[in-house]
Amino acid sequence: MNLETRAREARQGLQEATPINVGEALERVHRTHRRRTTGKVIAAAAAVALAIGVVQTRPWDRGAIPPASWDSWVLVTGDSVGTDLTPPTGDEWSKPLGDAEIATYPYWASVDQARQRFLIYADEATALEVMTPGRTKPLFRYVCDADGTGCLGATLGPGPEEITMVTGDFQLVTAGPAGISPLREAPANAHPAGWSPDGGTLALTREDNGRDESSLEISLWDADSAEESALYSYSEPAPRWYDPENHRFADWPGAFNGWGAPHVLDVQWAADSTRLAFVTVTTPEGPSDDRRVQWQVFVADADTGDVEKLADLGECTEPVGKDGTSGHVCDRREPFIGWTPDGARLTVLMDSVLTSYELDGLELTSDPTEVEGFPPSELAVARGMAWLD
Amino acid sequence: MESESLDALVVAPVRKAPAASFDDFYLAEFPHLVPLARALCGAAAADDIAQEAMLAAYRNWRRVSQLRAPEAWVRRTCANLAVSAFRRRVSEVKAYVRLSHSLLPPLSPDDEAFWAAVRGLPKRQAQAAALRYLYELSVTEIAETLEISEGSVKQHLSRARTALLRELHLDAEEGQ
Repeated sequence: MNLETRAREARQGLQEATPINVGEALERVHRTHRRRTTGKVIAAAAAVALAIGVVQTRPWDRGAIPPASWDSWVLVTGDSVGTDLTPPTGDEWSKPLGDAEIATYPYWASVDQARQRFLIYADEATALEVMTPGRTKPLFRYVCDADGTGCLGATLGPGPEEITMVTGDFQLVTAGPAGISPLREAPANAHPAGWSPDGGTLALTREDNGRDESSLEISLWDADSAEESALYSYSEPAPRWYDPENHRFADWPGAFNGWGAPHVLDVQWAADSTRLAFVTVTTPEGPSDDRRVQWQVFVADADTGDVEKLADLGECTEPVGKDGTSGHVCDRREPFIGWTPDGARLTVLMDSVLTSYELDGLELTSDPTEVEGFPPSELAVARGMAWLD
Repeated sequence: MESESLDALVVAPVRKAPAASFDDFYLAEFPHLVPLARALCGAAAADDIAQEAMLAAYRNWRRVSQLRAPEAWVRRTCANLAVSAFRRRVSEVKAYVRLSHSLLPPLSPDDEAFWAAVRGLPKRQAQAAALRYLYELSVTEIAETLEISEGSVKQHLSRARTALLRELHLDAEEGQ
C-alpha cells in the first residue's frame, strides 16, 4: 500500500470516528463566551470590594513564592494572586486574574523568588504579564497574536521585565520592553521551563507521546555557548488499554490518553544557579484496566549533570471502565516546589501538606519534615497553602 | 517524490461564500476543526482545542469575518493550539473533568497508527501533513493557512512524507 492510499483511508476513518453535535457545540461556545465576559465584570467588582474590605479574601490554594525575606510570601489561587506580609504589618495585596478559566491552567506561571516576579497568562491566555507583588499593573505585558497562539510556552526571562517564550512560528525568543531578541529555533515539542537566576542557563522540557512510547526530557541550554546538554530523560510504554469486548488494545478516547503520559510539572532553580529541582508525573505500568499515576521530585546539579530522586510523592489510581469512562475519584492536587532563599531547603506542597527537605547539595541531611501550622508566620515557603481572614 | 508530484495529487476544494454570521461560520467550519485537532493532538483534547479556536474567532469576529479566508484563520489557530504543549495539557485537564461528555469513538489500529505517526512529526511538518491529508489542501492553501512560504510548505511536506513512509513501512509509489 502506498502513502496516499493509506492517507485517504485514515482520513475517512478519522472523519467517521469523529461525530459532532454541532448545534450543541455551538451552544457551548456561546455559553463559554458569555461566562468569560461576565467573569471579567465580576472579578472587577470583586477587586473593588476587596479594596474596601467588604469581601474576605478567598482561600489560597495555589503556589506561593517568597520574596527575599523569610517573612512574607506570594500566593496564587485559581482566580487571583496576592501577597500576605506577616504581622505586624498585616498588609495585603491582591490582583484578581479575572477569569475562572485561569484556574484550570496548571502551568499558570513561572516564578522568580529572588526578584519577586511571577508570570501569568492573562486575558484568557492571550497575553503574558510579568507581575510583582504590590502592583496591579504588570511590569511588562506581551500580547500574543489575537488568536492566542503566539505564545506556545513561556517562562520568565533572564532580565527583570522579560519573558522567554516559544512563538507561533516555533522560535525561542526573549521579549521585553526593549523588544524581541531571538535565541534559537525552538526544538520540537520543547517548552522553556526556567532560567537560572544568573541568566546563564535555560532549562527546557520536552514531552513526546509516541505510538509505542511516551517520554519526557529535561535539558539545559547555555546562553553563552548555545550548547544544549541533556539532564534527565524518562520513557514509558504509551498508554494503551485493553478492550476486553473487542479483544484488542486501543487508545481510549478519554482524557487518560493525555493524562497518563509522563509530564514535567514544575521546574525551579535554586538561588545559586547550580541546582534545580523538578517534579514529574508518570504512569509506568503498561496495559492495564486501571491507570495509576505517580509523582516524583528530583534535584539536579546543573554543573555535573547529576540527578537524584528526592522522593516519591505518592500515587493515585483511576479505574477505567469498559467504555473508557472513569469516575473522578482521584482528587489529589499536583505538587508544587520551591527553594528557600538560602538554598538549604526544598519545599513541596501537595494536597495541602507542606513538606520540607533539608539538603546539602543533592543529599538529604535529615528526614523530610511536614511543616505544621501552615502558614506559619515565621516561615515563608516557596509554595504554600493558607487561609486568610 | 518531488514536490511538484505532490501538487498533482491535490484537488482544490470549492471556495465557499463568506459566512453571514459567526453561527453560520461555526456550523460550517467546526466539523472540520475537530478532526484536525484530533489528527494533531489526539482524541483527548480535540474537542476542547477546536472549541478554543472557535472561541478565538468569536472574540475577534469583527476582524476575522472580514478576512478573505476566515476558515484559514481558524484552521491555523486550531493547528497552533493543537501543537502547543501548554495548551494541550490545559485541554486534557478540562477534558478530564468533564470526561463523560466528550468521548470520541476509537479509530481502527491502522488509522490510529497513521495519525499517531503524523503527530510524531516535528510541529510544522505535522501541521502541513495534517492539512494535506485531512483537507487535501494545495501547497498554496497550506501556505495561506499557516502563513508560511510555499517553499517552506513543500519542504515540510517532502520531509513529512519521507518520515511517514519510513514510520509506516509504506510504498513510495502509487500502485506498488
